[in-house]
Amino acid sequence: MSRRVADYLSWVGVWAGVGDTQAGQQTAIRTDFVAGLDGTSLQMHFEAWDTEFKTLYHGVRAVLAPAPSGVLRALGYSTIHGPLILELTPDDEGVMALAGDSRANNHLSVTFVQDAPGELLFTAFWRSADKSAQAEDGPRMTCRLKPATPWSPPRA
Amino acid sequence: MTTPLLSRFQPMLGFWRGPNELETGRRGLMEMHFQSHFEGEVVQLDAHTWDIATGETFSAGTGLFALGPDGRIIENLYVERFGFCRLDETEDEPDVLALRGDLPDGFTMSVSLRLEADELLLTSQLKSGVVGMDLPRTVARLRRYDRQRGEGAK
Amino acid sequence: MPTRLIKRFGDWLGTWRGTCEFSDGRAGLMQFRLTSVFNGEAIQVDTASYIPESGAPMTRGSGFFSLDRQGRVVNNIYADYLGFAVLVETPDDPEVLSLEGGLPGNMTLTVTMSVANDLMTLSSRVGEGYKSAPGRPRTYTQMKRVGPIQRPKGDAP
Repeated sequence: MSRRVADYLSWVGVWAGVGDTQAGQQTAIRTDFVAGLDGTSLQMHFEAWDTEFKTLYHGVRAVLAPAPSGVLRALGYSTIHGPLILELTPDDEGVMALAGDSRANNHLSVTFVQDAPGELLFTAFWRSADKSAQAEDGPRMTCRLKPATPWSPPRA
Repeated sequence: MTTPLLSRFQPMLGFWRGPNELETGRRGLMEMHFQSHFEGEVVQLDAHTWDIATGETFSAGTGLFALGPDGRIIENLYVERFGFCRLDETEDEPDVLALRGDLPDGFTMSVSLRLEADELLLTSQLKSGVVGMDLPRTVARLRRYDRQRGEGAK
Repeated sequence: MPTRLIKRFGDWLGTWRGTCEFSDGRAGLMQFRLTSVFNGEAIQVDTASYIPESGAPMTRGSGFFSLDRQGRVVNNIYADYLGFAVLVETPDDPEVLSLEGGLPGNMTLTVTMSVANDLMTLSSRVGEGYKSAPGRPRTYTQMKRVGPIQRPKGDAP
């Protein structure tokens, strides 16, 4: 089912969690969704750090917007893959599935699934062009993200 | 999830733009962007007004709306022309958000926001406390452009 | 230590606004915002043009500047009236950034940008196919930096 930018505007805000990188390290992820271009686009800022916040494993900035034909794509910049244009693949409500190739022909796949209220399941993988035979079920970055909720004192 | 604050501001969140006239008589185009942070605990307003002919910005400000302990809205406001101040919600009609507070130079600022269909009406006035020194009321009528392609779009 | 990208375009960062004439003759107010991201590894460019009097949007767009291995600028862009494209730097004078790339429908987009005396000049043209016809009209804009507000005497209450 084709989606609109408005379908994702309820995600606006900061989401965070601890998960695993594709290479198997633990990673702390923070992603910020912001409405852009007068609210007709969804801007995303994604950071995956080591859990001590010393090394930025991967940073991505992206803008999800409609082409004149109406299809949604994401314009992006990745600290690993450089400039990107990813296609939004049709999927169910509450799913943002993006895929495409980098300029170095690495294939990327990024998916956010809202599988419960206040929870986004993030999954991503990339494989290099010379490993095109690698199965899609290979290792991937995964993380359950929750809205960054302010601390409040415990109630008695 | 909504908060008492968000239930008041939800219809205003987003981008608004329209003509504005300052108390000095200078006319421009105003843009306002309301966004909520921290799960709806605070709403931020960024506002700019620029000259229609040159694009030069001549007014800019940021406000942070939160709820006070009595359930009334408090706005911590910075306006480039006036500096920092705190505005407190005052009694008004149910569909109007009216705020008032003191500026550093002895003026009192009153602001009102009213949402009518898809138009946001913003008025503000500076009063000096000295008879005859009140400045003209500013009026901005803003439309939201994030639910449609604008009429100017190809 | 600034990146090569920031060394070249650090002076361009910030918000720019000015009048614009589109290739179809319409006039508007154009705004560009250039923001350094990931410590200068890329520059995000957000653009918008408005009908000056009402603020109604005319065009909106976003893009990223980054450098390829040869040091050329790669600019992947989105514009609501053009769609998505990847532009690559083409040779020009040192102070000028010229970019060219393909658009859907066998069209080519060329963009030329420069900053001199705090004035950003930008022109772009959509041409057909492999030989972009030089005679086609360009979109042309000159923008001034939106800096600290300069308030003339007597303007403040």
